[in-house]
Amino acid sequence: MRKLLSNQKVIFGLVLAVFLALYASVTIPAPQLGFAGVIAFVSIALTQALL
Amino acid sequence: MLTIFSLLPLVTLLVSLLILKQSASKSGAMSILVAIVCAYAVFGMDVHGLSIAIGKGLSLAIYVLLIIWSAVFLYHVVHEFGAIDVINRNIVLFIKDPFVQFLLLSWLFASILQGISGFGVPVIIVVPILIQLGFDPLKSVAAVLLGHSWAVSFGSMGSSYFTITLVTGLDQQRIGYAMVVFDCIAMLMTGLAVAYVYGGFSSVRKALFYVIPSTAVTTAVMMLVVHLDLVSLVALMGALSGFLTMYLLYRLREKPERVEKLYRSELSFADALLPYGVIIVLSLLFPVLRLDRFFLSFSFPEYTTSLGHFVQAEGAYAKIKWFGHPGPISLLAAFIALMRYRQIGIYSKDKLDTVKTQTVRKSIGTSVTLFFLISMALVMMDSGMTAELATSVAMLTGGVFPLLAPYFGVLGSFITGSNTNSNVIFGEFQVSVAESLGVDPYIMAALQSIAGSAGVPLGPTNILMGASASGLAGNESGIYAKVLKPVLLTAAVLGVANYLMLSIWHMHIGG
Repeated sequence: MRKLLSNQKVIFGLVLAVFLALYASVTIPAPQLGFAGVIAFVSIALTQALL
Repeated sequence: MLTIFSLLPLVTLLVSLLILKQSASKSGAMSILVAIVCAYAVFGMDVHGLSIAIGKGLSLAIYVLLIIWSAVFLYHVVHEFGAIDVINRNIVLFIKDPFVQFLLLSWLFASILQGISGFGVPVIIVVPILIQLGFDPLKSVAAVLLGHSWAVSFGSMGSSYFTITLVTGLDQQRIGYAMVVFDCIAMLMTGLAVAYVYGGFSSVRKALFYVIPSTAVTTAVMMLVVHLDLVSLVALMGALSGFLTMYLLYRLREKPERVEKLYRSELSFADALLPYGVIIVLSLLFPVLRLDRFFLSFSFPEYTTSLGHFVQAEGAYAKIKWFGHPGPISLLAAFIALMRYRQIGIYSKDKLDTVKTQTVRKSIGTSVTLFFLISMALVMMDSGMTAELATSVAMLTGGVFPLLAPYFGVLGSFITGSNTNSNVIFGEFQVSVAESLGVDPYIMAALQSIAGSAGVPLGPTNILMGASASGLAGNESGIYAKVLKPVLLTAAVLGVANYLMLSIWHMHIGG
């Protein structure tokens, strides 16, 4: 898991997925999706800061 | 109290990069986390606001990444197929003196590229050329970052220049005249800074012979181009005239032997230069063809924080023009170069596979860091943290504000990595302060734009591009250490000039 989360290609893909979720949440609008997107983004940043 | 919290993300970034010597990726991750916590807990930005701000940040990052990926791809194409070697050997034929090579390439050739495309392209193209010529990678990155920064405000076909005009609502040509005055100082300072990076104060003395006349000619040409209202060409024409002046001075002083025969391998010098020629031609051609209707952009709704900070809706955010954005232009140039290589028989699929692998390897880490840093800038802007910071500093400084005004431009570029964004954040603010002090707003607006330009070398995105282009990824703190003092010194000199013009001589360029 640690190896997977320190793989920059995986992180890159995850951030792009978060972007799509956030963009969809503000254009549809879908607040729950936005909430999930922000939580996911924070989690990615947290893993990058800690690993 | 709010001011202290608005400073926290920037302090985190600086401490992490410069004191803890963490990588840019880790520092970026820590600062975006701090920014999110401060925005949510202190500045009244809810999850909806955060979704908008982070969404905007990521869309801007995609805009910048398209440039980085395509420029890195182009570089590996010309490197892998041997074009860069042909270019380097011919540069050495024309200019034997390593000091002149270093100064001319990082100060003026990079500025010509900035005039045409900008957005990091000078760094991506010139840094590898310098390294191939045998210069130290760290010095090469620092020199190019500093060297081309004077051309940023008028560069990228005038994008920052247009922005300062748009955000302040002031007359474009009048701001342009004032910008040229400040840009003369910035150009002089950056030329000397490049010389200092090369070899300390002895090189600065040697550089005066080239830097002063080249700056004088460039300033005159830029003034003329502003007068003719050719706003997109100010930096390009200025840098070209400076380049030719310096080369002529070199020929006059050193009297080099005439170059009888250009170096060539399987590629001629013209073939090697082909992709760069294509970039210049397409960059000049596309605006004339008016293909602006083909673009990709994002729209975001308006938003107000619970503290009352209002953020306008964006109809076409991070607009990527398919015929104008440097990304597609660089990719097209690479594609045309590959066609030419196939025609002369040096193309191979294995080489292209190496190019693809190298492009991904060099760009992926930079991309993740950019996602964090640009999102941090947007969270700070949209939550009102940036505005809070600016207002507090203006209140604290009062009458000496013109002296300190350049540091806002530098700060904007440091946070966002972009002169254009710095102008968006602080352009209107600087003009408001000028009006409240009763001094010329045109001079203050011009100062903001050129100071933003001088601060571009500190932009995390630019540092990352430099690190990526030079193979110094992970040593971003080393690059910061090299560029920080020259940028702060340039800002100080700009501040003194601004103070003299506004507070002592009470000048009114705006009429």
